Amino acid sequence: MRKFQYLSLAVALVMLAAIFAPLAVFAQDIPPGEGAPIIESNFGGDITTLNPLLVADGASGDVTDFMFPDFIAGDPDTGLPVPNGENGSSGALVTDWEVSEDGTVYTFTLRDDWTWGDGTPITAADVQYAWDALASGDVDNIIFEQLVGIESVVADGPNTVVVTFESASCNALNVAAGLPVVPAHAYQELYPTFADMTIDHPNNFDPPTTAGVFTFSNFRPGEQVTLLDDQNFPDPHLDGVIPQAWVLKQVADQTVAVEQFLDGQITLIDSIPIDRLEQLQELGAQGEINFDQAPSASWFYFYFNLADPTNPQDGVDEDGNPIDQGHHPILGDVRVRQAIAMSIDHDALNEGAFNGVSQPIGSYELPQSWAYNGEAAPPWPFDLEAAAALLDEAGFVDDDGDPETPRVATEDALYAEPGTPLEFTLTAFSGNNEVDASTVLIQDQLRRSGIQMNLDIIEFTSMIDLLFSQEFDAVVLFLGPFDPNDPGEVLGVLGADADTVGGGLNAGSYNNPEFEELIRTADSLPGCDQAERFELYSQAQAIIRNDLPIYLIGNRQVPFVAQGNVGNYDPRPRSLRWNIDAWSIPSS
Amino acid sequence: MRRYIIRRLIQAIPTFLGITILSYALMTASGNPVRTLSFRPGRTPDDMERLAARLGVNDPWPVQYVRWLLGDDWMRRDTDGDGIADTAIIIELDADGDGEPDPPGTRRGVLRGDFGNSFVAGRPVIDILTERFPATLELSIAGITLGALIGIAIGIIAAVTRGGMFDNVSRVIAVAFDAIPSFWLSIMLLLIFSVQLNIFPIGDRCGFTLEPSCPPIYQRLEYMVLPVFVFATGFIAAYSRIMRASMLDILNKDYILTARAKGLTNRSIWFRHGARNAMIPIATFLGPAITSLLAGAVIIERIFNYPGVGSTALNAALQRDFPVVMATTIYAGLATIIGYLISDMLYAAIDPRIRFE
Repeated sequence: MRKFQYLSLAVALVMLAAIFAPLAVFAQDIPPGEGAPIIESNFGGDITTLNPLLVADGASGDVTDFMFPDFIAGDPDTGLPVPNGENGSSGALVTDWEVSEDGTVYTFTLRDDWTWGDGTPITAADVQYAWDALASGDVDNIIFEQLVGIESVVADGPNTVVVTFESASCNALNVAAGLPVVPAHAYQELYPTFADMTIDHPNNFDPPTTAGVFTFSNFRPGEQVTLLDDQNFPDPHLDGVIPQAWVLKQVADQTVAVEQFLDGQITLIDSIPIDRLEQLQELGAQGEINFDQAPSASWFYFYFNLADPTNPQDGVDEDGNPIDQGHHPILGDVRVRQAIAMSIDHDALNEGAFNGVSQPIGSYELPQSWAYNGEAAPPWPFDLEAAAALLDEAGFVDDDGDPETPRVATEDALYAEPGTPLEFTLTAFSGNNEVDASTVLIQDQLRRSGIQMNLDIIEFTSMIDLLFSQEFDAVVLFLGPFDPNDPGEVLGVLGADADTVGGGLNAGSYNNPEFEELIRTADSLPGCDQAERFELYSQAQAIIRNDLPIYLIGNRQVPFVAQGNVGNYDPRPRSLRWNIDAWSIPSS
Repeated sequence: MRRYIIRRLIQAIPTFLGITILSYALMTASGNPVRTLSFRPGRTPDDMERLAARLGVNDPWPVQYVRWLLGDDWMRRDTDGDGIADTAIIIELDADGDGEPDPPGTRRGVLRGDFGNSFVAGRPVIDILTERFPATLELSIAGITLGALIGIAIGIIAAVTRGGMFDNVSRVIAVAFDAIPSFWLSIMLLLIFSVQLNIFPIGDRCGFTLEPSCPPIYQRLEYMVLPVFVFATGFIAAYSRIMRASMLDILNKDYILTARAKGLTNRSIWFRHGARNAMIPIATFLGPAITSLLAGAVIIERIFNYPGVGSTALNAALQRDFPVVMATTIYAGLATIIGYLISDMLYAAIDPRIRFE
């Protein structure tokens, strides 16, 4: 009997702990609006607009994200669209949705408890107005191109939005989540016609009304943007929005940002320079600051030109038929590319160039994506013997017995004239420590396989010109950010349609119909079974891994830091600021 | 004097046009800005084509230059008032190739006061520069004033103590100030006085505030000390050398000997009779000094995170933001022309023998 009583007591205690657990996680010792301001740094340009429909740069997006509702919330752990409130998500309108049988019509139910700052309820009309403006063709924006496949957005009453897609797509929900929400009543007054909504409009930096965690206060060009707490925010994780303000402060570069962070002037840095990693890591280990890392959402990679660089051609003609682009004499042969991959010692690279924060990767999918399959596309091993065997097979031989001089082509070489040295030029951009260090190390490593990689380091914009001209051998690039929830995005970089001289991102002229078919099938699979789609995307990753049109140098862990006195700071895998309204910093 | 100024201003017109043509040609030769402006996943070649047509950067550079100078409201026009362009000269009616006429031109050109919109920010360039101008002005005025006061004082003292300890030390310092690159000096001062010793702030124009503007200058002097000092070093070096040489020359003049013979005090000889006449060459240096303001501001504003015209010019050049680059070029060109004009006028004011007839 006594045993049973103890057990009952234990169960009751566990239940009580479960009930009060959230309160324990988010301790509230600072009243709403009285926490010290959160100050972040921005070393890009100034914001360009506070109108979410005109946003085209990261800084403006960061600011407006806090001032306007999301249409659909993102899960802080997975990034996938979820009903508002699920798993700690907040600040979005959609509470539920239904999908038509054919998968083309999504009916979203919106919450009815949120108003704009001027007291007007936020309704479906605000979503439809935003769509109408973007789709009108009169508003110069880059958001519309991201709403791929949406045919119409219609408000069906104040709390229902019907989004119709041109065809069924497994990425539809992800696309719909990008629909902006703006105060239709205020915008209609401000902009009599959509054509009036220009980036040089006098109210571009003076939003008529907002609804979010923070509301606009002021913008000092070249210095800072200041937002103040909005206690009208309906989804606070505590009793209200705790920080008094959020400030985006302009700084010269990452180094200055780190110094100001160490001086206590900046609360949070979401990307720190590699050379300060050790110092900040140590401070994190001592508990003086919060130090965390997350996988990068960008590629850092070599872009091999597979086509003849002396005669650049588009990938396909107007009817979609492939155009003969010739072959790069050295890099056109996949065996050479594979030999390059196997000649690179990632461990040495990681130690010498990336301060230990890079992981070898064989898949173009980001590791944080549900579609990532590291087993289907494992990193290339460092194997000099296998590389040598492949080069022999490709017809590039060591003709002088000196392994460090370039091999030369024999008659067996696929595209190179006999006697051609195994040599190519890698064009890199100046001013980046990781690029500088890694390319020099790789140059040295390739020499051991008899591959002469010449380095041409030029200014970034000139390198982009060269890339689009398709007159290069290989370039090294950062590209991103990619959306880990949209595995089909890769076609914009490796699809034949993107192989356009002068502008296409598939500047290396990779063309593989089988790969494209796999991606397209996975993107529009009836029923969108995730396991089936995963299998298709895995096959696509394996193809790119083996074809090697790009060589991913590594997937960096991006370190980020916050001051040690930020209460309730709790970064989650896909969202650092998901509970920013609860961050509490004592005012000094 | 007035006729002289008008004549100089008229003479400046071809110089000014030459500067703008050369700058425009060089800038457009650096490449198409659209490629870097839209370098991101998801962007298609069609998107780039539309953007290029809208910005007008696909036209040959002389056409782009004429549009920048004279506007495009006369190039692509809506003659029947239906809101759709129906005639075009020099540029195409359908520049983006979408089968529809592009909107009528709206730019009036620099000669009519329209500097265009920034490619990156999308806002009128004139607004951007107007916002940034006060920061550059406060730095440069403080830098020149400090440089002139210290440089002239050092030059005078060095001349009257010729061969002495002060003269030798000041000459070494002048050479050092001249030789040390401002970017290096800026970084060193920041590291020593801001990062290590924590005496001055790590850059910025003012401390953290939620207010819409920085406090008045007198409340944020600590933010100006390091950048103004770096600004001033070049002027201190130049002014002290010029002043010393000029002063030495003057001190050997007969009228100075006469003044000594009359029993005047050293202070009266040095400052009343010597320094005033020795100042004439200083005035001639003012023109180049003003010209160098923008060049200096680019580096110093960047390193000290000072939101002025210089840092804006640097960012614009890196981003190929043509309208902003051209506006800052005009700013620098006008500063040069006006600087030399002021220099000439000061020359006449200091030396009554000089006339402009």
